[in-house]
Formats: sequence, C-alpha cells, structure tokens
Amino acid sequence: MSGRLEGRVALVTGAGQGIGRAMARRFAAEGAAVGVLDMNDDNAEATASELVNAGARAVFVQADVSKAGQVERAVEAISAKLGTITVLANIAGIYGRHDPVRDQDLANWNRVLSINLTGPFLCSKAVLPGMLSAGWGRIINIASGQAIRPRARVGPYAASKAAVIGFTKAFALEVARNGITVNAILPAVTDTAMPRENSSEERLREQAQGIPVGRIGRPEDMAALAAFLASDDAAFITGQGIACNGGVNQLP
Amino acid sequence: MSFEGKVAIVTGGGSGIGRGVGLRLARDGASVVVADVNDAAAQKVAEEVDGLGIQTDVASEQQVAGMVDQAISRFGRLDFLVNCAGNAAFAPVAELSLADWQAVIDVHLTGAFLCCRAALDHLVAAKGRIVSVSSNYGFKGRPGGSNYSAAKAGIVGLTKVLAYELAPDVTVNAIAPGPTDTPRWRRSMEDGGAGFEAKRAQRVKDIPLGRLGEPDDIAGGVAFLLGADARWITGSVLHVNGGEFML
Repeated sequence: MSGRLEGRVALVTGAGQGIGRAMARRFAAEGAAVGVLDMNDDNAEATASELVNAGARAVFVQADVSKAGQVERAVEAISAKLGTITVLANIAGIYGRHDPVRDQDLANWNRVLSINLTGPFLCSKAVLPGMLSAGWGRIINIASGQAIRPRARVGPYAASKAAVIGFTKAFALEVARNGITVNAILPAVTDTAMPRENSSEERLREQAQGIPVGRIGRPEDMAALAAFLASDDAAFITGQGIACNGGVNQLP
Repeated sequence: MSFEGKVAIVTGGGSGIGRGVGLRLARDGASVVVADVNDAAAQKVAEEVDGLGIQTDVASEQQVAGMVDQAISRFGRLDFLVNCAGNAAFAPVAELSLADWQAVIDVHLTGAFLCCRAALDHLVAAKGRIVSVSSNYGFKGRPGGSNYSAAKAGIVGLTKVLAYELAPDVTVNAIAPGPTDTPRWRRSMEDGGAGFEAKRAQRVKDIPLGRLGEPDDIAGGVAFLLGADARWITGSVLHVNGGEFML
C-alpha cells in the first residue's frame, strides 16, 4: 500500500461489517489510525482487533449515529486515544423495510432517515472543529445509485440517500475554503450482509449478470474509491457524487 | 510504481491537461505515447517522459490508424487510451460558421471515436482502460461554446455506450474538469480583451476550493480511473472542478 494516509486519523461509522469494515481496513493499510464505530459492539471490536493485529493503531466505540450525545462521546473518546480526526467516512446505514409507501409506517421512515441522513449530519458536526483547526479534512458519505435511479418499495431508503447527496453538496460549499472536501460514493449492489439479508444467492447471481463488469460489487471496491477521495490526488474534488457500480447504473 | 509495464496513448499530449496526464503516467512507470497535432509539442513532451511522440490529427482516420500502429510497433501492447485532444472556436450560434462548428466536433468528439475504435482490439486484449476528457461545460452551457458544449456532452454519450460495448474487459469513463490553468484556457480568457489576471481572479471567486485547477489535478483523477482501484467503475463521469459544479 502507498501510505497515503500516514499520520491521519480516520473515523469510520458502520465499520463493524461490510463496506465500513473494508474502508477501515483500507485506511489502516494506507497508514491511518482508525476509529471503528458501530451499533454492534462485538463487530466493532472484531474490526478494531483485526487492524491492531495487522500493526495499525485502532480503537472501537459502540454508538448509534442517530444520537447526538453518543456521537459526541464517541468522537471525544477516539480523538483522546488516536488524535484529531481528519478523515470521516459515514458508512453506517440501514435499508429499513422493503414495502410500498402505502404499507410503510412513520416509525420505519424516521428510523431510516435518522441513521442514514441525520447520522452523517451529527458525525460531521462532531468532527468539524478538529478538521477546521487542522485546516484539512476529508468527509466521505455513502449514498447509493438508488438515490437517483431507485427500485420500487425502497421509498425511505431512496429518500435518505438522495438527501445525503444534497447535504454533501451544501456542506462542501461551506467548508471549501478550510481545506476540507466532502463527497459521496454511490454504490450499486455490493456483497455485504445488507443485500444478502434481502436477496437470495440466486437473485444476487441474476444481478451480477446484469452488470457490465460481470460481478456484483465488493466492499473493497468502495474502499478503493474512498482511499482515492482521501488522498492528495483528489484534493480538487468536492461536492461530488461518484458512482462505483460496475457500469450498471449509468448516472448523469 | 503502479503502471510499470503499461503502455498509454495520450492524445492532445503536447500541452495542458494532456501533457499533465502524460507526465503523471510516466512518473507512475508507464510508457507514454504522446500524440498531438503539433509535432514540436509532441516531441518535446515525449522527451520529457522518455516516450514516443507522434504527430497526429485525431480527426483523420488514417493518422489515427498510423498512431496506433506506431505505438504497437514500438511497445508491443496498449493498455490505456486517454483522449485529451481538443481545439476551440468560440462564437455565439448566430455568428458561428458551419466550418467552426464542425472543426470542434471533429477533433473532440469524432477524434475520440476514431481513437477508441482504432485502439479497442488492443485494449480488450490487455484488459485496459479508456478515459476521455469531457468538461463541466458538457453539463452546463458556455455562452459562445455551443460546439464545445455539444462535443463535451457528446463525449459522455460515447463513453457510456463504449462502457457497455467493451465490458467486462475494458472500463470506459470520462473526466470532467472545471476551469483548469492551461495555455488553451488562458487563450480563451483573452477573448474579451480585459487583463488575464483580473479575469482569473473573477473566475476563482466562483470556485469553492479557491483556486483554478491544475493539469496535475486532472491527471490525478485520470491516474485513479486507469488504476486497479477503479476496477468496478465504468460508464461514469468524474468531476474534478474544485466544487465549481456539482451534478
């Protein structure tokens, strides 16, 4: 690995599994110290242990990104142990229920928005003072191809991911003169627990066939894009939604 | 070095963004073929990158075929095609001649088509990559730039079709720079007669990251798209513009 994040401290939410875990691994491989945040304590610990065993500095915190108090305490704890956080990857997210709107309830709607959208807002606010004082920062949000070209029955999810893109752009403008870039990654179906909970093996194989590159995504593909966005090569890229989808979802 | 053993053709490689791309790919270990309609410029950059300079008008089918033949004959393979060749002829539609309309379409868009078509067998064999330079003006209008905006938007269409046609062997993407400090850009700023520095300062006000782009910024994006980390990215457009345009 090229060590492009040597000396940086990264916070990755949802790093207990899937894309979040892959990002935590990749940032550590690039030389960063990594704060692993996840709702699931065991998963968070497992990721952090793995990174430490591989020679990285890493700590884990159990937290719900939709709760301001928990987020603030998590950022304080990680900063105290590892240093000022200057890379934030907001990966924690849920699908919510796959149901047409007429069968959706307000509780599910609010839950999806609070984790997928409010979570990135709260985490961004919590790390911002540190990034401002460092005069450098990278914030990477996870949206989805479904923000722009959704399927049916994912109303709350599609709404939350489209909203993340709007938030990404507005926030990027605010911090642009402070050395901080803010971008969003738009994946298509990626081989992690979330799609596997919702789709059979057969359905995933069908989806793979429909994808020009010939396979569904791997968490490492998203982590690779995130590593680029956190690097100096991407210093002039901000406010963008960048698709990583094997060609399946030709977005504007 | 991530591109050791790889061979790249960079059209428009004699100056500006194309030169920046060539320098970056050579730094990363690639052998670079510098194609440019300006022979002196092509040879100069070829010397800078210890590569091969080939005078090429990308709007000529014959010259493009010759460019690919010479590249293969010298290096035996082709991994990357980066379409940076471009020209400019700005005028409002009411005053734009058919010749000036066509000239810009021919170089930017038809040129990219001809180069992709001539290179694609070799790229498929190498499981290579194509990146073409679009522009933020492919997504928003530039007064006086109907031919330019049409060509740059056209490059996105070409990119998306090729992404399907060449999958899964070759990924095909576009990069869309914002205002980037190149000789061409400086010339276009001279149109109106006012001083360049004043115009640049005015332009920078609209760019959130507070500066013009440099060819190196665009080259960094191209290097990413050509690299192993972008293996699952195809049919996409990477906007590198300091936040000046957010799609």
